[in-house]
Formats: sequence, C-alpha cells, structure tokens
Amino acid sequence: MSNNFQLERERSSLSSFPDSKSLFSKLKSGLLPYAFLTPTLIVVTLFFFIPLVMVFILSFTNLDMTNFGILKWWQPANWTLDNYVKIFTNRFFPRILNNTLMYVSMTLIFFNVGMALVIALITTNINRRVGFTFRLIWLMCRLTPVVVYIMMWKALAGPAPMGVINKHILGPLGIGTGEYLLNTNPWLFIILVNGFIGASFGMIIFSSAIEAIPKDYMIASKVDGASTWQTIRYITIPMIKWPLLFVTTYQTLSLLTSFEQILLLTNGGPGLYETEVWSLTAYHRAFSSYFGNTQWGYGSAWAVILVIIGIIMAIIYLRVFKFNELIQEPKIDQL
Amino acid sequence: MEVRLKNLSKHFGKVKAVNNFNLEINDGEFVALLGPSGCGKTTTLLMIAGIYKPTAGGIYFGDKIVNEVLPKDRKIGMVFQSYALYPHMTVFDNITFPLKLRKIPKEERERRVKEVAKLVQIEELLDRKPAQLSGGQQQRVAVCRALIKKPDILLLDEPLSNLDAKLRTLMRAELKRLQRKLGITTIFVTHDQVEAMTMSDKIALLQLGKLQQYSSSDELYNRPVNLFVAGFIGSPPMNFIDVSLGQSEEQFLLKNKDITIEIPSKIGKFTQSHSQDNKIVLGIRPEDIKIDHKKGEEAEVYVVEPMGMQVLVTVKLGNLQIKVLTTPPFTKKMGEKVKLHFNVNKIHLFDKNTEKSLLLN
Ligand SMILES: Nc1ncnc2c1ncn2[C@@H]1O[C@H](COP(=O)(O)OP(=O)(O)OP(=O)(O)O)[C@@H](O)[C@H]1O
Ligand SMILES: [Mg+2]
Repeated sequence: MSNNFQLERERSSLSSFPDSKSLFSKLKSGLLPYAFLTPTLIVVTLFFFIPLVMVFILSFTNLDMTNFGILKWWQPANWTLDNYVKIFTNRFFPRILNNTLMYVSMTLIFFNVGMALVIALITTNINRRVGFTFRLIWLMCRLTPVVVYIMMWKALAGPAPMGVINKHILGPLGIGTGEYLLNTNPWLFIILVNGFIGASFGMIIFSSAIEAIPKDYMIASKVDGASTWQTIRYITIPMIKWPLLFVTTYQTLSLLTSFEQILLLTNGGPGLYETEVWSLTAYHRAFSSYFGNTQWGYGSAWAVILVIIGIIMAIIYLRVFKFNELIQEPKIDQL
Repeated sequence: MEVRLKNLSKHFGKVKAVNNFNLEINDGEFVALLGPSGCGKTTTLLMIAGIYKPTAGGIYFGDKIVNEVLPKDRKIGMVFQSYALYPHMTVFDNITFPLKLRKIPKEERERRVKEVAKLVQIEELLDRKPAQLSGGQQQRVAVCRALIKKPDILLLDEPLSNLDAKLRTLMRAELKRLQRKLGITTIFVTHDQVEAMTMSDKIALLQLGKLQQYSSSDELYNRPVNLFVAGFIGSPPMNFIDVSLGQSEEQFLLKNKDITIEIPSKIGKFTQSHSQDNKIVLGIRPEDIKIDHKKGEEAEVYVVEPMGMQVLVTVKLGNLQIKVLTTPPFTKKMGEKVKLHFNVNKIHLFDKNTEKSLLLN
C-alpha cells in the first residue's frame, strides 16, 4: 500500500519537472528498455542474423574452395538460380526427399511424440516414485555423449559373437547371427537411435504438464463415469494440447536439421544415398564433398530450402492444433 | 437412496484423516458434514464417491456394500469446491460429459441439458467456455453436471465457498429448494455453520476425523454433547467459565472467585451426581445473558461492537471476559459498570476433564 503510494508520488513528481528535464527523462525512459536489449541484439545480429543472410546470398552463388577469395559473392551480378535448378534436377533428389520425410515422420510419430506421450501417461498414472525413476532411466541416452552413444549402438549391431543383438536375441531365435545389422536394416537403427534420445524430451514436457493438471479434473471425470482411457482421451490430452503442439513443432524442426547421429551411424550409407537425409546432404555438399572441393554455395541452397520447409511445417502445425483456440484473450487490458 | 457409513476409517500414512466414522443417512435427506479445516470432510466425501478406498469399515448404499464398486457405477453426482469444470469444453459439453461417456444419443443429451439448465436458469450460457462465466454461473453449471445423470446421491464439497456473501445466501436457498424438489439424498460438506444449519436436515459435526455429534441443527445448538460442539456451533461463540458446584441449604451455587450463580435445584442435583471431581465448565451463550438488569453480577464494559440488529458487548467480570449479545440502543461506554443476569435455564455444564456434557444423560 505505502509502496504503491510512494511510486505514485515519484511518478507524478517526475512528470511535473520543468520542460527540458522532462523531455530528457522521457527520452531516457524510452531508450532504457533498448539499452538492456543491446548486448543480446549485438550477439544475435553478429552470430545469427548476419550468417543467415550470408547463407541466403551464398545459395545463389557458386562459391566453393576453388574460387574462394576470387568470387565476389556479395555482388548481385554473380547471383543465379543455378544451385536450385541443380537440386531439383538431381537424380537423387526424390530419394533424399523421401528419406527425409520418412526419417522425420517415423521418429516423430513413434518416438519423439508417440513414445514420449505413452511414457508420460504411464509414468504419471503409476506410483510416483516408480514413475520418476523410470523417466530418469530414459534420460540416460540423452546424457550420454553422442559419439559414445553411437559407438555403443554400432557395437550392439555388430555380428556375433561381439554384437549383442545378434548373439543374444537373433541367434537364439534362429534368425541368424552373422550380419552387421546396420547394413541390413539401417533405417530401423537410425529411427531407434534418434528416437531413444528424442523421446525423453517430450516425455519430460508431457509428464510435467500432466502432473500440473489439477487433481479435481481427474476426480471429476472419474465421478462422471470415465474409464482411465476415456479420462486420457477427453481430459488429459486436450489439457496438454499446448505442450503437444510445442513438442511436435520443436521436434520436427530439430529432426529436419539434425544429422549428426546419421553421420556417425551410417554416413548416408550403406547403399548409395540409402540413408542420406536433407540436412546431411547440405553438410556433405558444403563441407565434405567426395572430390574435396567443398561447394559452399550449393550446400547453402540445400540449407535454405530446409529452412523454408521448416517454416511451412510450423505454420501447418499451428493450423492443425487450432492454435487460435489455444490462446485466450488476455484478461488484463493493454494500457 | 440410504447411505450408511460403518466404522469408516481412512489413514494417510500416520494421519488418521477419518477415524471410525459411523453415520446413517435416510433416503432423501440433506445432511451436512461440518467441521474445521482438515477434519476429514473431503476425505469422507471422496470415499463415498469411490475415489479413495477406505482403510477400514464399510460404505453402504441401501443394503449393498459399495467399497469395491467403481465411481462410475455408484450413481453419484458431485460438485467440487473448485467446480472442476473442464476448461476446454463448452458449458454444454461439460454438462453432457457424463452422458457422452455413457454413449447416450445426441438428441437425448440435448433434451436433458435443457431440463437441468432450466432448473438453475443457465439456458443461455450453454455455448460459453467456463472461463467466460462468473463464479456463480460456474457453480450452477457444476450443479447441472452433477444432476444430469439423475444420481441417487448428490455430493457437494463446499460448493458455496467461492461465492461472495450475497450470492452465497442466494445459492444457499436455491440449492435447498432444488434438493427438496428433486428429493435426492444429499451430503453437503462445509466449514460454515450457518450454511450447515440453514440448509440441512441433519448435521454431522466432525473434529480430527472423529464424529462429535450427529443431530438436527436445533439439537446441536441447544443440546451440545461436549465442549467442542458447544464452542464450534454459535456465533459469537459460547462463553466458557471454569466453576465448581457448591450447596448451601437448598441452594445450588456455581462459583469461582469472580462469580456466583444460583441454579435450579433439579439441574444442581443432576450435575452433582454426574460430576466426578467437581471441576465444571459453565457454558452460556451471549444471547442468554441479560445486561443492565437491576440485580445480578456487577461487571465492567470492555468493548462494544454494534452489529446492526444486535450489539455485541464484551464485559469484564473480575479476570473473566464475557461476551453478551444485546439489542440496541446500548448506551453504556467503555469502563462503565453494568449488571449481568444469566438465564440459568439456558446454561450448559460440562465436565472439565472428559469435556462431556453433564446435563445430557
Ligand atoms: N492424499 C492425502 N495424503 C495425505 N494426507 C491427506 C491426503 N488427503 C488429506 N490428507 C490429510 O487428511 C486430513 C483431512 O483432510 P481433508 O481434505 O479431508 O480435510 P477437510 O475436512 O476437507 O478440510 P478443508 O475444510 O480444509 O477442505 C488432513 O489432515 C489432510 O492433511
Ligand atoms: Mg475439503
């Protein structure tokens, strides 16, 4: 009360100062928020915005190792659409697109959203401590350094007697023991490897969202006659629509752009472009071309298209989840 | 539907939330569970609803024990203190949710919504979301959702406590009317004694998980069985004075160093034969003391609190503070002397040790 009063007084005394001073203080108070933002703005501009614009420009040039330092890539005269034409006429283009769609959708549906939701629902419906421990175990994949994690998977997939899967699962089942499973089923492993890491993110978000739902709703739905499944369907899921939208969007974008697991696991193989996804292509073109000449311009074009796809996906999700219905009119009027 | 609780207990670890609770509710009765915060009211209600499993004892609907029956098969309607209206559903969907779960066809759902919505006059709110309703409207919607499945038993957990004083008085009367009209056995949880007394046929007064007294509000007010009941019921609360009983000739006198009150010999004899060591608590309600009488105990005015219809006067009698309700105008000022007259036919006497009433059996 007294604080408010004081504030009120300070404010009124500020505005009642003579003209020159009030102008100065007005200016000062107007600029102050921006002053606080400046460090962030500088960092974002320097390390994010400028590179983004550069990549965009580079995608219209043929900058590579051979003409680096010679080509004036910033001059519009050197800009063409050649890279884009090259991408869409590439004979492996359909394959890469198909790989990307499969990789993203399968990992997303079965693990990053699907499995995450299932684990979250199960672990929040059982004894709290058991559920918590189980979720903690799931986090392990994420906590392991990615190189170590992939090496472990490679070891798991190896032929018997070293490969655990071959020796202890497939062998006893009589399916065979001698194959390197990454060569026979590369996609299965890519999805598992990514999914095991990816699921833990959604799992944490979903389970905390579920636990934050007031107990009364659950009790009310039970009294109303809902079975556990009906409660999940009609109460729990609609109430975590926001986190669902967030995780789906976020994970789609991060799957679209993530390639390090695939790089380490199969590097796009075993067959020609068999597991090459879009982001991996961009990386290969820009930084590790087979002929040693890294094509920065061409790689940028691949990356730019990926960004555009990502934006389109995000917009579609907002539509699908009826984003407009999720946000309510603010109860406090803007002053 | 009759409801009986037999030796019902619920423990959470070491906490005995409900302890050996016995209660019989007749068909169509309106019973209030009254008690201070944390005494086990909600826990009892949730056991009746089937959300909590009793640690011991039984819950009977009619002659059937329902301990193992799932909530959805108990034919219960419940209104929560928070209302628990599903925020993502419209009012219509909220109310018809129980019917939807039962796969009742849409036309019938619409018909029944109209029926119950009319009962509490919310027909024009059906398209809104709960966030767009006032507290009172939300409460009515919650009542509708409880009523639409035509429950045998209605459970209300402090449904009025989120409403402002005026609306609460209004809804109190409306809920009571509704219950009478529908004749549904109703259990109503509250910590507000006025709510309990005005609305219910019978009140079960709880403390620390134990039933203290189960009777009509009249009985609870006029014949409290122990000190807790006497102190809990009534506002402003009853005055308690430590006294002992003395007898001189045919007179029975309640005495301590500040007061001496003569009581009828019938009460005196009865008390004498029941009291163990003559440590007695005299209870007398503020409205049973008269002020400014010609004769009586002399006391000093300590505080005067006008309340409109009545004036609450606190007086000092020796070291005792006694509250007296009197009718305006009251002209004495702080520090002035008054005389008190105790209506001895309205006194309550309790054993100081057992805290039980000495006047009831
Ligand atoms: N799930 C639970 N786990 C542990 N203790 C609980 C649980 N629910 C209730 N209790 C305890 O049991 C006792 C009774 O709780 P209950 O909710 O029934 O009180 P109440 O009479 O409804 O109180 P209020 O008027 O504040 O709502 C309290 O001491 C409470 O702390
Ligand atoms: Mg409660």
